Amino acid sequence: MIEDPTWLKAAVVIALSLLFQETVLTQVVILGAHPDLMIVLPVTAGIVAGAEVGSVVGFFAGAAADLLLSTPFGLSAFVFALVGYGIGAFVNSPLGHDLYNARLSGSGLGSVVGTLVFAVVASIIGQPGSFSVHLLATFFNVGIGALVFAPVLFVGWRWALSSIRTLGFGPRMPTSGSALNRSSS
Amino acid sequence: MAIARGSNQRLTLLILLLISITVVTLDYHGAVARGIGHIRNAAVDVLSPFQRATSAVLHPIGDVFAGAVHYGQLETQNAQLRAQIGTLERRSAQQNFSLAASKQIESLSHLPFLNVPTVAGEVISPAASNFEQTIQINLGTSNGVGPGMPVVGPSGLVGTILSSSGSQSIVELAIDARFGVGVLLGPTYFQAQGTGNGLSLHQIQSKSKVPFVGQVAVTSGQDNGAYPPGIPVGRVTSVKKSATGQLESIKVSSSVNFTLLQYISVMQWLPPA
Repeated sequence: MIEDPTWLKAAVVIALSLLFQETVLTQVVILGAHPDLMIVLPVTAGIVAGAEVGSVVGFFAGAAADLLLSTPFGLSAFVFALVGYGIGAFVNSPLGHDLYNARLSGSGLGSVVGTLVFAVVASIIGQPGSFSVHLLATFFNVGIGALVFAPVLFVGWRWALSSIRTLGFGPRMPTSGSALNRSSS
Repeated sequence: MAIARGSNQRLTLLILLLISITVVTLDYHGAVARGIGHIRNAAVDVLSPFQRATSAVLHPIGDVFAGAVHYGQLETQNAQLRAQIGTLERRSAQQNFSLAASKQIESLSHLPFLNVPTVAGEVISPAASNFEQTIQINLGTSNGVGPGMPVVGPSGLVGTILSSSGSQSIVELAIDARFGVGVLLGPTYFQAQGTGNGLSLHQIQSKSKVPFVGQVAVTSGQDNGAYPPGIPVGRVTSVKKSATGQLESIKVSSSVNFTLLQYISVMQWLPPA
């Protein structure tokens, strides 16, 4: 399903996002929290290319983020894979079909929900301090960050995932032409 | 066909989740955790030059914004500091008198805090995640810094080294919810636990002496020697008592302003074996 150059391009998008997150965004602290570009990766990938790609992108984006965290390795990979899948599946459901048209606000909302899922899972596996007033500041920063950076990531995913034939809104991507027709024929 | 595709998607997700859970589980085990630690340290080392460069560029910009936003607060702080300087100058005169005596006491009691060698360093980056209170510093194993060493700032305990690569380390701040340290308020021992924005004190016994707001908590040196005794941890901000007058909770604000923290010292202190 996924051709080699696609993997490489996707890895480039993830690596550049990680670099930007660690060098720039961690310094942008508002109300004690900072924007989180890594959670926006699976959300935007899920919206652009569907549940399966969203989950795979989420897994690798989370694993990359885990490299630089002191939380248990694999925690972000687990949560991001779930988030990417969930967003992709929701977009493809009749209920979420209009999300593509509201994909920017959907990215913001999806990223905030993803952050909440992270807090819940972290809390379940015994990571203390996941729920506090600080979480509200985190939601604010993550939501605003998603609104700002999702358009850039949509462009990035259109470039990286253009050859993927899958469900989701790949067909609406300018570079993928009539992928939906291909997949349904 | 659509059903088969849906099943494949769910299978992919299931495999990814199982891999994640396996890795999380293995991360709790010694040998594998060490291996993962090496990979993490290598990743930190790769990003280190970029972070230092960005930090050098962004710190002055951030200082300008912080100054603009907190102008009123800074003016108040300046006034308070000027008042404190006056008080300290008066105390200094008194302390000079007792310095000779305290030196003798120090040599007798061998207070470790005063004799521990330190390495000065700089904060490179705040926490990588919104769910942990950590900082990255520009000191690593090549500087003689390693996990478990206490980190102090100009005004007190900053935290402890969580992990170290060759060129930098991650410091768990004293306000992180995973952080714990034994402290003394006067002669009374308490267990302090990070709360995300300060510390709360536990093990409050009925016969504990009631601390007062503003009292300074210092490390006790009793946690199997994890920290040398006498490092200022913070000041008591609130004391709650029950109807019967028994101590219920004590909140302590850290003596360090983590938002403005730029320079630190790592104490090359390892707990006695």
